Amino acid sequence: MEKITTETIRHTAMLSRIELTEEEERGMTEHFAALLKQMETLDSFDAASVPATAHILSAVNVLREDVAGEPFDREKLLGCAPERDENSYIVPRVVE
Amino acid sequence: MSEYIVTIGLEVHCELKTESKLFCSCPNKFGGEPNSHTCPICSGHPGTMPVINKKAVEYAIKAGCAIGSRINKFSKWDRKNYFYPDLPKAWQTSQYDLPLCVGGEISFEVNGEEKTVHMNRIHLEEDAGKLVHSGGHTAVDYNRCGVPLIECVTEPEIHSADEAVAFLEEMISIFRYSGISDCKMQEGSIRADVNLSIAKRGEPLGTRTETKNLNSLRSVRRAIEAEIARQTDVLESGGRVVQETRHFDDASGTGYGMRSKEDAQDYRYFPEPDLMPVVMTDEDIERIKATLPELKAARRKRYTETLGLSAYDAEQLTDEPSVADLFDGTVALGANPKKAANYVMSEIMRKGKTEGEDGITVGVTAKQLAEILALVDKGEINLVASKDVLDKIWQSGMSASEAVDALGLRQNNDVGEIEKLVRDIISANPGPAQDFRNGNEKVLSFFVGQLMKATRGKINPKIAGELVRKLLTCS
Repeated sequence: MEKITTETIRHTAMLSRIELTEEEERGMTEHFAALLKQMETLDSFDAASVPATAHILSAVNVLREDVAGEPFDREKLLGCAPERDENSYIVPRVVE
Repeated sequence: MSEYIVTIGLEVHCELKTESKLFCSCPNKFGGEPNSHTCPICSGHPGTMPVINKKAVEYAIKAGCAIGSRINKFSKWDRKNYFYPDLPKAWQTSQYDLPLCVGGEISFEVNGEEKTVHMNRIHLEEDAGKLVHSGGHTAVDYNRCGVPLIECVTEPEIHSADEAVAFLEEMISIFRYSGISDCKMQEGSIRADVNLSIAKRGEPLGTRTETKNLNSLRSVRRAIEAEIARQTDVLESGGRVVQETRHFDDASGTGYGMRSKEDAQDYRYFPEPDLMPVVMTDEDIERIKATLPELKAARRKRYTETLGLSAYDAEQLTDEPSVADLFDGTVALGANPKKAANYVMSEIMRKGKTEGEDGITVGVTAKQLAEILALVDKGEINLVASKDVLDKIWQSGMSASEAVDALGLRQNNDVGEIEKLVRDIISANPGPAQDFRNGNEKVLSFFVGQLMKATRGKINPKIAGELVRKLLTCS
């Protein structure tokens, strides 16, 4: 099993755009390692004869017909945002 | 520069022409006020559950059938995680290891030679929203979020900008004929990413870069040419190409690096727990395949080999599916193929073209057009008058015959009446009449022109010409 390093944590935090303090990084490293340890218990199970499954349920083809409905009330949706203008969500500028 | 072999793979994103979005019932419509086609599902609210649009699945399979892909009878959904505000859930619902379509190929002609590019896969996924950057902030519009998209990935078998553009033209034609997408580049409904590397002959492939989101054939060509030149410069000056995602700026015609490319692992794909797999039987696939119309290449071949049209005419007629359908329908109703082809290529294409827009609007049915051609053939109207008829019936349900009567354009084929008119015109123009008698044949068309003018194009020009000659010769 791959070892969880501070680098792994920093990389994951970067991908998630989360800033971690050094203390949090240490905590996360231990936490991730403990999670992986738990997953290792699965190794004791012989899965060679079990086919891979894509989903825990056996249902397939849960599909809907292509019929357009009424969009949702925009005001209600925009109202959930921390920042908005008349018709858009506003976020910090993401390109230089 | 020519000593380097260029290797290009394309990823083409193509929006499907469904009524509703991929996972919710919001309308799949271009434009509209920002966020006016959204709901809690496509704007990524926690706790909402997506439900797959059946038509989108069928269209993706239809695309695969059109290019000879193998359709996966069992396909599943995955989350592609990345953090960017155009994606409200912070993951794109996509397909990773079990896409709907695998393989396939597209053949096309480039600089007079036949070329085939193999496809790696086609998978179905959702489009992302649109960002507008201004001042210190970014405004987010989720109207496009959740619009069904197929991503079509080629094998790295393209070796020049010419090949890439010719490939895209053929792919666009196939998808438009199949009726799965409008492929309107100016509306962003088809966009291409270019993966490109160069290497000297005999050496292993070079490091590739990916130029993202090219939304016109012109941009694809320019971006490829600029990137070949850049990578050549880097290698020639002893440097090495860095693997990165690049953006091409259309205004300046140059590309620039965006960020070091996150490899597939960084997307942390994992199976989508909110969606069930899609299972297709052979019968399902056959049923979808049966909805495919005759595609461009097959029609082009039929037009030249069976209908006897020139390669040029066949190409013109098949450029636009709606035009080809009109032509086929008109011929099926008994029109002469060559005459129908000429009429479609001149009058219909002229009239159906809107300045600054792609495509042709076809404003008549095959039945209406077949009738116009039949009226011309029978001599009831002439070609000049047929244009007025076309104007009159364009985008209306009126028959050609009704329009001819409404416009009073029925051609006069009465020899007696025309002869009287010819005598009048000759006596009103003694000078030109003498010219003709002195051997100036060109004057004949002057007299026919005068007759057409006097009758507003309503006489049969063939009969008129014969009569002018006859009367000038014997008087």
